[in-house]
Amino acid sequence: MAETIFFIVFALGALGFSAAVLIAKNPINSAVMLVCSFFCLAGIYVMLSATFMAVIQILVYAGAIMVLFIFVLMLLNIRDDEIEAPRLSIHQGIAILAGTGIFFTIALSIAAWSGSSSRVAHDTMSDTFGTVEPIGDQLITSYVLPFEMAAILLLVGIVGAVVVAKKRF
Amino acid sequence: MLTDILLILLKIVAVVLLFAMPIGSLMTLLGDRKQSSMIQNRVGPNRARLSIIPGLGRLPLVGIPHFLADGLKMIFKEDAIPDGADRTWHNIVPAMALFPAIVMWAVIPFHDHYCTGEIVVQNYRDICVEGQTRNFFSIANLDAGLLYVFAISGVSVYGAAIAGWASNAKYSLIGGLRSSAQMISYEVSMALSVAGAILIYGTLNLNEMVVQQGHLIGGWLPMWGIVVQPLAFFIFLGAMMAETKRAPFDMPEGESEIVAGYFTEFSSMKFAVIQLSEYVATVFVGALIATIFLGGWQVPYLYGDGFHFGNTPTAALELPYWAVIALRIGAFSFKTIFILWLQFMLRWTLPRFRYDQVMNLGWKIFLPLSLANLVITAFVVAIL
Amino acid sequence: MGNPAFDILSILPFAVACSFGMLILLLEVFQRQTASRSYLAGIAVVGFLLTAFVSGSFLPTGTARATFGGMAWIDGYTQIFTSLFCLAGALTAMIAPRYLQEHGADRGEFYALLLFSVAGMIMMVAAADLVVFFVALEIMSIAVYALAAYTRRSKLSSEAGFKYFVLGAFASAILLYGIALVYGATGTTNLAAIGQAFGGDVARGATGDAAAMSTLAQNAIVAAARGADVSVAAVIGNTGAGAVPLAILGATLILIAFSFKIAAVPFHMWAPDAYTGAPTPVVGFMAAAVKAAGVAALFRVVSVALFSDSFRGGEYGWVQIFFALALLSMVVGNLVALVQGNIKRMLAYSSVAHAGYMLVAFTAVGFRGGDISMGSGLVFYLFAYTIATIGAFGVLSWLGSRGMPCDNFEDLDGVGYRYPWIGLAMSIFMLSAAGIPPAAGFIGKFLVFKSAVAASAAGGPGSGLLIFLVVTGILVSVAGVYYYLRVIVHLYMKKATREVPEMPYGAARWAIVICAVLTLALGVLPGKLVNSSEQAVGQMAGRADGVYQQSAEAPLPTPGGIRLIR
Repeated sequence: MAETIFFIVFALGALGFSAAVLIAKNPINSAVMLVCSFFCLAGIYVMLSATFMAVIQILVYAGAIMVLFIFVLMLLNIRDDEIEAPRLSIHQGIAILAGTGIFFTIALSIAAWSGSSSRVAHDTMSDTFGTVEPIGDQLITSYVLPFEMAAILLLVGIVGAVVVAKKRF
Repeated sequence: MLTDILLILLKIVAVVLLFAMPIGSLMTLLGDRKQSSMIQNRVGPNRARLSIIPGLGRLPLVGIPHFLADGLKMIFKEDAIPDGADRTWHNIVPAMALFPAIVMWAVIPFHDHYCTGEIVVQNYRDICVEGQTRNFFSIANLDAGLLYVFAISGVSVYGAAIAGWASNAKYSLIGGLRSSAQMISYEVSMALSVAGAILIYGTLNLNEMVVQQGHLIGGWLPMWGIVVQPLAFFIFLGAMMAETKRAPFDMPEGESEIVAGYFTEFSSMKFAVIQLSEYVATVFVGALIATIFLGGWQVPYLYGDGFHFGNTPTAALELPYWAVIALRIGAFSFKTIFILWLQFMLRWTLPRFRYDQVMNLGWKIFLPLSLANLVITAFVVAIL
Repeated sequence: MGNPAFDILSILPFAVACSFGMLILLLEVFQRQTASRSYLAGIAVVGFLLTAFVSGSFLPTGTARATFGGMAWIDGYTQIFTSLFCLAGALTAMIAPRYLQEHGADRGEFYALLLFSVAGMIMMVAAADLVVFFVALEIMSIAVYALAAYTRRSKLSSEAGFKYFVLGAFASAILLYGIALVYGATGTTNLAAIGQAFGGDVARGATGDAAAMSTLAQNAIVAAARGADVSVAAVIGNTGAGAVPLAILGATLILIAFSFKIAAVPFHMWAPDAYTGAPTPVVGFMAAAVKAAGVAALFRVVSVALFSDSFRGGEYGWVQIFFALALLSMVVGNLVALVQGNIKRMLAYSSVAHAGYMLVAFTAVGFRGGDISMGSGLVFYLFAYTIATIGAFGVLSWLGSRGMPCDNFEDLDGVGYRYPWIGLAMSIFMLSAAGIPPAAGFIGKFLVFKSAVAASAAGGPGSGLLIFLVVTGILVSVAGVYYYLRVIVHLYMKKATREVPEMPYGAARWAIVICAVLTLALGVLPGKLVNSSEQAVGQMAGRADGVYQQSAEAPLPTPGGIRLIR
């Protein structure tokens, strides 16, 4: 019962805020709405027992990436009257068509799925599911190669950013 | 189900309204007003009187009536919103600032799990023989508690940033920009400096961290964070002070340059709420540092059944469980207030940094030091 | 929890390339601002050679193994492409110093990024898991974005870097979405497991072939044990009702992202601008090595994970997609290249056309029921194309100097007489690109078209289309001869209008000579490379019908405690 209520709240929140991201005229409003949407997603993660994912969602997206977004938007300080009214172009029409198509494909797939026997019942899940320990364990055993490669990726990102942003050679 | 919810609500009320908020407002106001006046060799607030209450009418009460008067004044002031400001955000922002400051308290443990029966002390840990009520002295005993704190403290940037942006004023905008730049910069060294402690304790759960700090090195030295990670303690303290935008890191509200920074254009209770959120965040810094580095609720040598000197099965001085709990919560409060006091001493004795100094300190001193600390800790942990 | 035997030696090429990159970064720190960095290029070349050496020497030929719990395959296919990427990287590192000094951008980061990028390419081809694959792709791409914007003072370079970055990031996002959908459909990111989940085994199992069913179960267990934390039953159970459209959507998105990376029409829009603006040595690297890595990885992904009937044939399988991409790329690339006045732009469109030729091989493979031996021509083609392209851009960057770039056809006037050897080398590269014997490009094109003809010879519906594709390809490449020969006309039949300044750095010249010699050698004596590319493709690990399927690492770990299928 309580779970259903929370799910409805979070799901509607995620949908509503995502729509607000698109509708909002001011980019800062869009960014903050996106943060709210991340919070709702994190709530859904918690309900799926993926607490680690939830915390990382907030930590990385809401706490780091979107802050930089807002920082840059504030630095640019776009005023309301500088924002052009959106026009519906042919690209947007195609995008809407493609988005609708993808939505229906996924929705139908999930609908076809929901009766299948392959779902694992909630109570067969281990106690530690979704917590830090098993995820950390997986990261340094099964997924150690991509995990270590991500370190190189970050290094390349930093070096690349410095190369591009440097004032003088 | 219902009792669970009621219990959680009760705990929230207890932690927020009886601990964080009172200490936040009372202590910080006292510290900001009375302690600063002592440091600066002046008298400080002493005129307001509680003349309604008989018997107290003539006493200055170390300035406490002042802060009650402040509250009254704030409530009755006009709420001014500048022309061209984004009214919606201007109204929401104080809540956005206060929200993370309060929500962070959810994972702070005030005591270990409550043992329902006999307690045996083994290897510096309380073992509950007849089971325990988990999660009794904290609102949520999260597995990733420390990550949660970082996540929420990352979100707390929004309050200041949006406040600066929504005011439609130049000083406010500069304040907001400064605050977000500063908080992003210091988050890095903040998280990295604690990584060493995480390696040592092998957990992100704050209560488990505190439990492990009950260990005695060589049978006499408590394994507090400050003992095993002294460098991290200072980096973390500095980074946290920068995170809460307190002097000497109060660039975002440097009154000599940009009036009051991002909350220049806020008045009445909205101003009060933003101020209060900063104070509560300051108290939280105290609580978090006490938890990670000062042994949290641990009292040295005190375990579930009394004082033990060394790794002994029986207590040298037995105490009833309620007394132990009281001592421990008292110790935690004391540590929190001590760190708070330390922050005020720093705030009122150090001059404000310049902007470039703040950035240099964060990126060129704190970050390399915390990385070095992490590497050395990792080696030591791997060897031992 | 299981502790997979980490076979560190198997990823030694990646590690060596990364270590040299970091070494160069460290050396750069202790450089004086004004000191010359050319010796760092030497270190980079040594790094590339060492990488190729360790890749070749630490694995007995003819064996393949999955390492790190099934995260990467080290086999002949990985090895041959590792050597190709190292060759491309070394040649670029030799060409670059002169250009960088001319343009006041002589910094060690260039070589470090080059090494990291090659390291990413190696893992991209070796990837046995979409997670590894994605991370490797990003390592490669981000390094190349930075390289494209390397001469920051030039507006064109910044524009090139920015366009390349934005569209590349967009392609990465599409790729990631595709990976997520495929993961949602199959419950695994392991390529082999995806292949089995959707492979012919399921279809055979559905018809009641008990023996096939048991092989499937066995294979799935092997795949699951290789680190794919997936319940075997769930994979088989899921592939039924809802999963197929989801997986096809995911696979389509993955193919679109690849088309971006290899600049196939209609996803080629970024290429001309990026190639025109980026520093010339980088363009050579981008056009050659990055495209080769994309094609090589795509070939592995397609033939291991997406080989099943539901992807390949069917109503809208990837045969049709590749057919359309190949046709469009060949026609548009060649025709638009005809009217370009800027050589770099011309070469950009020609690289689009080359992507089309490569996709012909994909179409042939798909047409023949995933018989990947058809793809061996592709490996040879990539070698020929890479060497000739790097050589051509090497010549352009050698001839150009600061403020006097060698960008237009007129800039090449008379170079053939002024610098006979350089002119000869450039002619060889152009002949190779046009596919005229005796240059290597001819053999490559011949092999690719031959595979398509051979595929159509088997008959069946659509074989006429394949012949149509080949005929179109030959026709448009004849048209392409025009603009390649135009370069040679300018080299030899026009009067010199400009003087090329004195060259202090000989390495670039040597790189051009190496490219020219290799192009000729591969064109005259292709046998050895053809053999080894056939071997490499034939031995590609991870395929359900592959010989080396069962020779995975010995004691396989059991999957960890997490079950992600719910």
